[in-house]
Amino acid sequence: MKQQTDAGALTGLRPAEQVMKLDRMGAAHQTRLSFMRAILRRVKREGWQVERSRWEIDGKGVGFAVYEARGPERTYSLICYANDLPPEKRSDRVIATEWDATFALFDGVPSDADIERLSHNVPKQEAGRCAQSELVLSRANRSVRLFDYMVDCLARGEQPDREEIDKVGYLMRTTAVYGNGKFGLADRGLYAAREEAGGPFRVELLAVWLIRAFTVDILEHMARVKGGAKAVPLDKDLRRRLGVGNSTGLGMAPFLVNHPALLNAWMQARETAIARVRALPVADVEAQQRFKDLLMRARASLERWHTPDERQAERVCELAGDLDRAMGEVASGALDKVRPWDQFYLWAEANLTLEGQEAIASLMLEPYGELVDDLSSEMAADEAETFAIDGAMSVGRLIGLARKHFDWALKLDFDSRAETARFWYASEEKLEPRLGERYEEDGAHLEQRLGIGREVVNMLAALDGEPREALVAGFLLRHPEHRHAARRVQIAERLPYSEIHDNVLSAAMMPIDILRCKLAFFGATRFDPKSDRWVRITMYADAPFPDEIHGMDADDWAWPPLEAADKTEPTLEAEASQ
Amino acid sequence: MIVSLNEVEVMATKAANGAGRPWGLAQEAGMAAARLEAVGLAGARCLLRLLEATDGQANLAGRCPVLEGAHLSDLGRAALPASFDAMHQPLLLAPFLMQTGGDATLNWPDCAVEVSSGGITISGSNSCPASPVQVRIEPAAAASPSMRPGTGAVDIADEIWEALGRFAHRTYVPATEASRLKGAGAGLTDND
Repeated sequence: MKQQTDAGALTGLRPAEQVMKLDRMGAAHQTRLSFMRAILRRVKREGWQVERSRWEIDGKGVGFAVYEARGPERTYSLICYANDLPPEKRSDRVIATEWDATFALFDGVPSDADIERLSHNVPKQEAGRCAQSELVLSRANRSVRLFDYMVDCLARGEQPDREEIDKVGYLMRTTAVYGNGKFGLADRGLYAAREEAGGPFRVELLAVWLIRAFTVDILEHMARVKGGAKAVPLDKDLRRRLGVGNSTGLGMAPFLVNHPALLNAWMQARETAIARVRALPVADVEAQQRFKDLLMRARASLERWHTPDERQAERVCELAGDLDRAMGEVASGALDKVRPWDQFYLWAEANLTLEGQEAIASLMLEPYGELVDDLSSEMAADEAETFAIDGAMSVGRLIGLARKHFDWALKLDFDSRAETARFWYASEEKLEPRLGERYEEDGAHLEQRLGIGREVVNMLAALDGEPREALVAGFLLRHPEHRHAARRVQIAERLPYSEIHDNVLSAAMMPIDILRCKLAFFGATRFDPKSDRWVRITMYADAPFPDEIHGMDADDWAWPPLEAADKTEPTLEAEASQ
Repeated sequence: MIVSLNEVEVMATKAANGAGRPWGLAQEAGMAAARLEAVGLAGARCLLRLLEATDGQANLAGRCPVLEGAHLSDLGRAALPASFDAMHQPLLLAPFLMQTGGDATLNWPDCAVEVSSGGITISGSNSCPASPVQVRIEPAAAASPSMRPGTGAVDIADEIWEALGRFAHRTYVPATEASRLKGAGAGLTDND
């Protein structure tokens, strides 16, 4: 199994009780292994070509477009349906019924009949049906402010201000990117064995990269409609600053809890990469220089991380201070020591905030693509492989494993209101996951079983009177209500990073911590929490567009290169004193 | 209704939960229904008939193929041979035998099923019996299965899908304006 192939490095891995805490998960940053980066590395390496093969969009911005992404083995096509959406209908909430643009990623090249069939379904999103020829269903709304401003500029023949672009960072934001069989889409099983599509969220995030190209094309189209011959295309350097926005709500939190093997695979890969770098005996000059450059870039990129959220804004501010301290530490020769990365990481752990520690852990990987990038192909997992329960295990052993892996839960008082304040449920309307207040709202009897810690504690109480040598199977036949907990305990023994080591029912739990962890694995940046349970992010900001990726570095964008204007070293103290 | 296998699994899991199966067991019901559908057998229909026949009943030991199938899976080969006098929808036992590596035969009146980890071979006419039947399960040498798991969508009769949906519906909490705003975490429109 995957988790055993890297046994040599396992000894140096950060333990689950450290990395599976929600506060640290909620400080996660993208890394070299993040899915967007792995996708673009492949696109470049394999010479994928993207062609906008259809553009049938009228003067009101209504119609369809097709982008064909041709890889060495297969072609995947993004079909885009553009809409002229009245402002009052524009909502990022999952309960919206109309969007500025809707998308399907098609397996192959769609025929006119496919485009026609999907035109009756894709714009309806959840209310429509897709088929096995479609892999992804998505939709996006414009950032009206930036979109209209940029249309006006380009229509007049002028380039928009960089500062205006950076304030928002994207022309459109997706509000859902569905895959794996939802609404009739192809099951993951159909493409899981394909090299280019089998990794986690590969097809979903390929679709987002193509959507990004569409957002600029529709912008330039509207500018031409408005400005005629005066209109100009967007400058390519400005264009690259644009990502795709995304609003992510609670839905991702149950996903992560319900995919323990997948969560483990992601964490295991990332932690293995960190451990490999920490194990290096020396950091050569080239690696040191790369790291220094990226520290500067990371520091400068914080100027574009805007959030009105007080908690996150403070953390970004602290992160800036952390990165300044890290630069100082490096300047004083920290990387000239023996096992420099291990030492440096330990220094970070002792001196920086969680944001800073996780940023350093990510930045440390940057000089070592050859050492760690292979791990990005080990991040898929099939939950079915760990689904069966070993009922021949003794009750005594199950109790021992539960105590070992859920000791964090055993320390909590699940009879208290604080630890059981929340309940997760599916709403009747739209079936979206929601979070309720157990002692204020109805519906707790229908809660989803996401509080794994509480489930395990309850199972242990039920196991109390059972003979220790009896088989687990006999207990579970009498108590099927504990099958879920028994399964998770056994999975935790096999997969060390399968469980969040925090209580997701607690009054203190912040759902955005779970969302951020998942989105960081996707490769998202600039987390902008809109509440404790809803976050905006940017995807693919500063990444190459399809028409330029083969002429530039495909993987040097996550901490974007410094520009002349950024090179005067920014300091927060200076800003604060103004 | 043409549905993906993932949709079958999600619907079956919710329906089983709605009919009173605890979460872990409901997940197993979802797995079983989806695996049967994947090989071309009527997993959704069998599950629906099971839930209808046992709705609201406690103590399903010996009668529920999800409960007993899960138990067989827990014990693996050591559990065989096994027999039950009055089992609902015995075809739902097959995916659990597949899960543990298979190579077993299931027999009930007018139906014989050979199971291996690679698929299922079924003969006889009574794959979805209307009332509980006597079932015997024995370890058997692997035969090459005639029905293997596919990866495509499956066609499920509308009335079956809708009836499963009614069971699933019991797991949903009715929305209120307050939960709409609070539970999902935002009441904003986003015209910025």
